[in-house]
Amino acid sequence: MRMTIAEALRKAIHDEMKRDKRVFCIGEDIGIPGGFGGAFTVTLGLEKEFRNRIIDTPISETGIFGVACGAAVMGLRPIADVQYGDFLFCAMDQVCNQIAKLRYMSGGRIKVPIVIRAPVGITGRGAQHAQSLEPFFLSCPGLKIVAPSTAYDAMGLLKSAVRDDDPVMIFEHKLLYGSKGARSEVGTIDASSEIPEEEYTIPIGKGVIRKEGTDITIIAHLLMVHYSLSASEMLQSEGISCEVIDLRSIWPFDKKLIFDSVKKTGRVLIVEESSKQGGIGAEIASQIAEEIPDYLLAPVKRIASKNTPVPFSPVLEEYYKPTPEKIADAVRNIIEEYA
Amino acid sequence: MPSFVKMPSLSQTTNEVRFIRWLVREGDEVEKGQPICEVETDKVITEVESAESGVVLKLIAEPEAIIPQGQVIAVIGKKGEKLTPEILKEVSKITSSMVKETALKDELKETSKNGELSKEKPSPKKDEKKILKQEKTIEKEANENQRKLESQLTHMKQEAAEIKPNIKIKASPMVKNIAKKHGINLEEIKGTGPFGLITKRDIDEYLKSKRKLQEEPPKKSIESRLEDIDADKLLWMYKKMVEIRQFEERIRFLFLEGKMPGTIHQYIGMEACAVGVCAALQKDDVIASTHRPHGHALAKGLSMKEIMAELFGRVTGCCRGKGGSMHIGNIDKGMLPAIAIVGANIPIVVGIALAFKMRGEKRVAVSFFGDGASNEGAFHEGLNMAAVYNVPAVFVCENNQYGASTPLKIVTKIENIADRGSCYGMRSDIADGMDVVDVYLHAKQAIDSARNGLGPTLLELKTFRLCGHSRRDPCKYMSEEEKEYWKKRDPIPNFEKRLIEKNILSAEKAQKIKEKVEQEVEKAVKYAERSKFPDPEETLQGLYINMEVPE
Repeated sequence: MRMTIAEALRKAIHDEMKRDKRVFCIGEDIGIPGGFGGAFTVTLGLEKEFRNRIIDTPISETGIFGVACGAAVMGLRPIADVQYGDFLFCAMDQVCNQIAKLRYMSGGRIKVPIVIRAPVGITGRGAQHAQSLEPFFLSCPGLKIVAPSTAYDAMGLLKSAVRDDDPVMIFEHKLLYGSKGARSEVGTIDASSEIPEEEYTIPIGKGVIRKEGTDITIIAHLLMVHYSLSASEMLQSEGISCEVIDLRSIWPFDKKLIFDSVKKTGRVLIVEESSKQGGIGAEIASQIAEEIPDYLLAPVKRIASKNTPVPFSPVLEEYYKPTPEKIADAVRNIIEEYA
Repeated sequence: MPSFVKMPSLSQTTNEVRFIRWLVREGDEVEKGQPICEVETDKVITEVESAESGVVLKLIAEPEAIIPQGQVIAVIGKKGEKLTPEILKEVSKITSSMVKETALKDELKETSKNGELSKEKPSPKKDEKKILKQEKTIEKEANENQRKLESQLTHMKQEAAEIKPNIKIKASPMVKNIAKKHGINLEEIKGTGPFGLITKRDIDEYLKSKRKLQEEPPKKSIESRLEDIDADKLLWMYKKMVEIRQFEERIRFLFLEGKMPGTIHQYIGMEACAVGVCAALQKDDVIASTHRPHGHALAKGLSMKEIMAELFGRVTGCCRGKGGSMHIGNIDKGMLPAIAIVGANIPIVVGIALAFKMRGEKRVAVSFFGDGASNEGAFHEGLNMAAVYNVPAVFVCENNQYGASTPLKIVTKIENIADRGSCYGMRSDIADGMDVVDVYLHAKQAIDSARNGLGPTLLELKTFRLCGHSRRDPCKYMSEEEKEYWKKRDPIPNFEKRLIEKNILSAEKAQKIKEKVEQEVEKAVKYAERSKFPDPEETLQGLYINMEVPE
């Protein structure tokens, strides 16, 4: 059956709640009859079947993640979400000081099996509703971070996240949800997949090669995977063969998959939607440079959003973020300079 | 011509007032008898009424200025009248003469404040500058005045050296009057008004706190009766309090000797809080603590050995040496690793209680936190959610009057933290945190209600640290009087006395208990010192469950 990411996530949550009574959802606007089913319809209608396990909260992000943390410590398996990833900053203490550290501080005595869901991505909303927050959490040991770019992965990663005994953050892209009706997004890209009948999960920590190639490795996640694939199509006709890796897991990332690809192509471009400063690309690039420099035919390059807050005007937004054209240009430059 | 409003005579004992604020704006129409500004005399804060109807053309007096009787403070014209250059000129004359007067005063103030001569002339405002330029004679006079002033100031400087403490204080005539009446040294009061001005509220608060220290202990809503509690429990509470006291005193010594790593926040004086609450809990109930967790841990049943070893950073510690003093806890004994971010355990406790409720378990979760936490967002978000979900939780605010060195009363306007419960539709209660029996009886009521599905309670315990905030804090921010007052209410000797009076304990038995505890503490220290440090590579263990720490 063909599903959008929003539908696949909904089904995954439904399946997990049905499979395991300890699983519950907690967040703002997630189960109000006649409401939105979360900001992007992911939990729409679930309250009908799981009346007592879809917990609507006040607008209290510290409260949401604190409550989820306490419930997880006591053996439940909460799926807590924010309407926009940007609001995670309100709950930074609970996420980074408590959820990520409690197990370690306890000397490994307790576990905190939480799933944190957060929508990210630039979508005409300006500086406080469109950031890509993954890098902030990349520097916080104790969390696992995943980011599905297709409906198939969304289902498989969410199930793995719920079943994982560690806290897992799942970043979802607003332009990939495929949410319908009043909650649909302008500029949406089709990320729907055929979802098989039989159950499956996708292991955390494993990336995937979306397109094989020989000249350069493009590493991306979420929307940037789709943009990189568009760019590699443009380049194909010019005779440039790109290998596109979808990270899927940001922490831990699939070092082996990346290294194997880089050893094959010798050139790397890392694409991300957050600002370049302190980005995910910085971490991956330094690991490549530290560990397999001899395989490189060209310096590792990054393309990311500008080092400013997200601007509003469509003209500025276009200038701000990576696009398929900009990705293609970056690849051409690398290939020309380091033939 | 418009009329120039003068400051009327408002007091028989002084001819000066402090100007507070205007109640009208330039351009406003005013009626005769309408209040136009607020001022403070040596006795009251009062309003000055307009002597006639018209339109406000110019407001001259400025807030915080000390204004003598008869000084022009505003210009009021007939309805429809506009501000003309002539009127402005008149105003300028008045303000320029005011400048000279205030300049003299400011200069004197500056001198007495800094104890040295201020070389620079006060800088006049723009329009005043113009006038000064135009009228050279005034400038000459000013120079003349300046010379006089300087010789005066030299003289004043010598005098000021002797009386400087009083001159430094910024307070209105009314406040000075009250201080005089009550024989208060204004130096002891911290002004919260603009530029540190001591306001009427400051002095009222000060008097209130003084009175409180002289009063009897707070009234108790449940009569604190020993007879309601069985003797075994009373003796358990006594021993636990002694354990906490001796444990804390011993580690303080170890810390000062440099034998113990890290930092410590101690619980001395607050023992009745943890013990009274934990005495009302069941074994499978769960508590969460703060950066000051040793007392809670001992009261909830963690062993002295596992706590001591953790303080020493040993692998036998309750957190295998990964937590330290601020994260003491053992979930198997019903204590979350202590959360050292102020207020942060509150929403977590809501979640723990929610888990109990969702699973239909008759367990209760308790959050311990201080008065400081009640000003954190987490407190408000957590309490609101606890009330909304009606979870079996008790929020115990140990109000020890200080957040580190900051007195609660200068950062919180309300007297009782418990009052905040009603804002969230939550039951709240207050108990005497220096009386373990009172704490126990109030905590029991709150815990029983929670267990029986009647929802959460905010329980405030009025208490005091009889030790520093952390490390070598000598508590210079507390008055001797205050320390003395609370020392008299030390929960342990008082409880011991009551137990002996009721024949539940004898002096000999009390002595025996103390000796036994002393041995236990000593054993714990030996145990910790003999325990191994964790293998350095253990740093990489205990983070993820089914994954190695990635490089």
